[in-house]
Amino acid sequence: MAGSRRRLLAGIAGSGFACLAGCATGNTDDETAFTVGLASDPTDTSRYDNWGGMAPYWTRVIEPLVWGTDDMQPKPWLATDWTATDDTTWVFELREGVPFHNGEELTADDVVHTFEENILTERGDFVYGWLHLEPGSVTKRDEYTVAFETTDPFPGFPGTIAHNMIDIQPPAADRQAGEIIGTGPFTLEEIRRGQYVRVERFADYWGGEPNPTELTFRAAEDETTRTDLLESGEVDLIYTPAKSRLSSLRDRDDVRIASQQSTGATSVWLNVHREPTDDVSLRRALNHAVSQTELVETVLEGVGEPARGPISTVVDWVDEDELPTYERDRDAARDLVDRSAYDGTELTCLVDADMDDGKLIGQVLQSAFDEIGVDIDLAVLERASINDRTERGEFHLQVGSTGSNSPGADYLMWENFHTMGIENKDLYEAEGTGLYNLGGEVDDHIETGYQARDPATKRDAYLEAQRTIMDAAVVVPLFYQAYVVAADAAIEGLELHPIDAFAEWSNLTRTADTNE
Amino acid sequence: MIAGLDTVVAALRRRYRAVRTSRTTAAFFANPLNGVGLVIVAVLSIAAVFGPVIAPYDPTSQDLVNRLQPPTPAHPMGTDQLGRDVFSRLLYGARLSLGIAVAVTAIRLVLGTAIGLLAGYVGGWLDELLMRLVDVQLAFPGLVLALVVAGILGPSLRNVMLALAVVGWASYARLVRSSVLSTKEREFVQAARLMGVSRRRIAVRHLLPNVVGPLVVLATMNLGTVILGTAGLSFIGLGAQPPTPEWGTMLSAGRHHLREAWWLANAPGATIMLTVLGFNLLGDGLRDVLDPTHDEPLEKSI
Amino acid sequence: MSRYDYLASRFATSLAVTVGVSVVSYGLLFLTPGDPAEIILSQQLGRQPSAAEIEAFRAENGLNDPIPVQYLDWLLDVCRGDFGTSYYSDTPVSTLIAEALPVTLELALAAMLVTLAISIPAGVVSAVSRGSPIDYASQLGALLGVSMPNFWLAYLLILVFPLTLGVFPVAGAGSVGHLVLPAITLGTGMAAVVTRLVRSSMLEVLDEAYVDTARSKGLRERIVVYKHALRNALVPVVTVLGLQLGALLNGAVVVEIIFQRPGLGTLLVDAVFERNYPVVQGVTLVTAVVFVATNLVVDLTYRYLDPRVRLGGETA
Repeated sequence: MAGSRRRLLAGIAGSGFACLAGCATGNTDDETAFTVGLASDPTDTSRYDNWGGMAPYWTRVIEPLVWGTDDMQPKPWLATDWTATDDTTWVFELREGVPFHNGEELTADDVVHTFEENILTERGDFVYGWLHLEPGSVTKRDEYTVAFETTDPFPGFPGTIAHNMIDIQPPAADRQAGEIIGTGPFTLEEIRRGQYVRVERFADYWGGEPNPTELTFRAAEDETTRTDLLESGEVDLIYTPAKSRLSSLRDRDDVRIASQQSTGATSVWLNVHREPTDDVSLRRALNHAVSQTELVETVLEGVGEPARGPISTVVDWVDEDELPTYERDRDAARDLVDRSAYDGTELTCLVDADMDDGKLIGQVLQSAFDEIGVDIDLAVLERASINDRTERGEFHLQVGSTGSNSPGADYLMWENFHTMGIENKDLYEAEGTGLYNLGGEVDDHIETGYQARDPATKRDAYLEAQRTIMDAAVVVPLFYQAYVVAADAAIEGLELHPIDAFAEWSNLTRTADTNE
Repeated sequence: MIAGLDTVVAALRRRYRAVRTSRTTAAFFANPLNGVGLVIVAVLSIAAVFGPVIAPYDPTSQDLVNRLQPPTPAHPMGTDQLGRDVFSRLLYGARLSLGIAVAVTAIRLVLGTAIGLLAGYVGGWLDELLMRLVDVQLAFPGLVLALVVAGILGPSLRNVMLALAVVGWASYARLVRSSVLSTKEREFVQAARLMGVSRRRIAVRHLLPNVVGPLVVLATMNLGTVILGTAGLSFIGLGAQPPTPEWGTMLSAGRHHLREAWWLANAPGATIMLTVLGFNLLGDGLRDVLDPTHDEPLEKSI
Repeated sequence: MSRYDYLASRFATSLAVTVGVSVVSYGLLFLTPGDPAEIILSQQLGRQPSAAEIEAFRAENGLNDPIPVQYLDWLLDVCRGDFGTSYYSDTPVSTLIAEALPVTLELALAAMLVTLAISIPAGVVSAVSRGSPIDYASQLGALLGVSMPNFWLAYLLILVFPLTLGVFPVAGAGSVGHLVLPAITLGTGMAAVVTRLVRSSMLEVLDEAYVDTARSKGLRERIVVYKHALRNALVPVVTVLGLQLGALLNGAVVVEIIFQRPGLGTLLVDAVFERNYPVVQGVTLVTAVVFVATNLVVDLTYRYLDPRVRLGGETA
């Protein structure tokens, strides 16, 4: 059964929206066993069953061919090297001597099997658009060489498959039966639905034996519960503690706090194909109504950076200094509202019920827009209801995020802003509209950027697109996301990555003196 | 506290003696808790009616600089995550929460009474059918069904009210039917029938008055359970949309701040608890007066 | 009416109610605003389905049949234990329910124990000292339990026990320790009903003659109270406890969410929000059927245990 395409996009894009409730056992007293509280449920069947029977993120059981560097560049992993032999052909050299958890060695056959059977055949057309591959486009050249034939020129291919979901599994793995065989530093031991995923050390890992003997990933989607679990000692480390608790956690000697800018950015997305948000004056007015700095310093407790664009500055082709700026200026905003077609009707603003601080951010915006005479009705809804509304274009504003779980982030521009992107395509084909697509030169710039092999060309094209998008005020940027990790102070060796799901656990250690 | 109440009770007793038989009043105040219930409900009703007049601030006006302020004379219950005055929000919320409770209970009451009257009076296959319908409704745990109904219809206060109303009418129907069954063969009803009084008139004029007492008791207790049910659904995420100052929503948002800003959750929590307690106590008291033989156990949520 | 006639009619009624319950469970799908076929399909595809796709889906799934026929098809499947498959995974709904049901029942039983642990002492003390401040205090205490929003109580318990005192886990399932806080949260909500019942049936039994007889033999009053009165008073209490299962399931939804227990409540709430209709229908039906069955068993047991209850007819 095909999973929801949008759901998958949310999964692939990661960060998008944060999540809610799940759970697990306490950790053992073993000094080398660790329990991690995750903000999303690693056992959530609605998201992962269709993708190999387990959460590909965080658990590090299964691995892709390519990984990502800290500055969001593709990094050799199961593949050691790759070259584009022509416009649409990519040849990947595999790492030799990589053992699967069942003892077999990784070969080109496994890669072909994974792509052809698990990824392309089972996933269907959504994956074709994402990876620019079709069934039959992956072939074995020799035991350690695989060729990929993309459907069109796609320079971003290596960075795009540097994604936890594009993992390699051998034909022997019966994924639907929960038999996951990967190459990762940890082997899957147990999944308790709604509670936890438990993995153990894989001694023969190609990258060297990892330090932890056992890791338990607990679903802890409620931020307060997650923080309570850390404080009670039931988990050793959590992602994204409750903002309300940050200052008290920072004051504690037995808790270590680290934070890292992520690939995420949160904005208010304005439906440019619906009255009255189709009026650029109104959209600019909304931009002038908001103080990003105030939002970050108050409601976000200083986590994140005030944003000027819709995509995180972690992404290499984003340079916010090149983008138009809208300072908070209520008088200018009111003038713009007066000049716009806005007639005082109530505009609908969608907020995902699972988004971290979504209700608070929504209310701050509501109040800010009210100041300039624009009336907003907040609709805090579950994702299924949000999708109903966005599929039909029945909303004016949406508080939402972009974010990438792979170094190749080109699709953030394409899917959100290009007329044929996933957000806009259906409405464009049905009614000639869309949601956030300006069309014309923006589409051209995005296409140029997408096809560019040269980083400078790509950067210039995307910047031009973003400049036009911000000039037309398609979004009200709010903040670039950062994520916080809080851990037992005795734990050392955690390496954070801009892509939070690329966390490296292999070097985790616990100093003997403190625990609890 | 009991001594203070005694004086209140005494005063109330003197006032009431003029209009009501002392026996009724005495029955009500025989249990001091009944008086407590009456006082709580009275205070709440005043808050619901005059809340917006008394409230020192606009319930939605934000002051981000002064967010999460502990209680002070200026903000007797502190400020919330957006710097809004918690006391003002509670006052505005009183009208909303009591309004929902009254509206939902009224729908349940009317629907249940109509069905119960019909079943009891007409009898036969209609009675059988309607009573099986009652059984079916009672077979679903009320909040579970309400959650599904409201969830499918989409989160809004209107849908929550609708859902709570359709899952709670059955106990009224049962109550009215059994009373009608026991009354309809009595002499005065037989006499009315022989005199050619219409069926509808008999039902409304002769059968219904006999069940008013127990109905009032049930409805009073129901007001409390509806408030709890609304709060529960708000917690699950089906209640009011922000920035509506609904008590359950305030409580579930405040829970994230239970350690640092205790007033945020505990003020609405205590308010809900006192309100429900008030309705339960008042319901008990009314039962002592209106329906002394009956001792039906009260229900938790729905 | 003989005992067997009564049994037969009681079973027939339960069956009728079960059928009614299944109609309601199935009918929930039609509460959705819009065309169910379109909604199901758009959940599966993750996009607006085309008219042709909707038509194909309707034909394939029998959605062009009259609704009663569709219902009967579903009912027949359900009778065979086939509740359909979750939209978002290949897991059969029956598997999901089979995993979740024990988690919820375990919580319900633990909550009942908590209720009894509170209610019996409170009810007895209340009855023995009828009309005294102790009586009022115990009644008030029980009522406070029922009046508290259970999620507020839950978070206060978490604050006090795991976070301040360092006992019991914050959340999760799997051990007895994990059950304690959820059971207290859920159990206190029911304590008011049961305390009141213990109190009133104690009062009733205390008035009965044989207690006086026992007392006159010179036994200490305390022993009289506990041994004779309580034993007799407990019959209706146990009955009501069984009938409170519905209330328990109501409360279990919120409690399971807070304490992250993978029971029927969490399963249902997730399914409602994801529009996972086969799961919603299945859980709703199973919940109601469990409740009907419990009522039947409790009712019959009660009648068997207590010959004073007249046989036949409704007690209404």
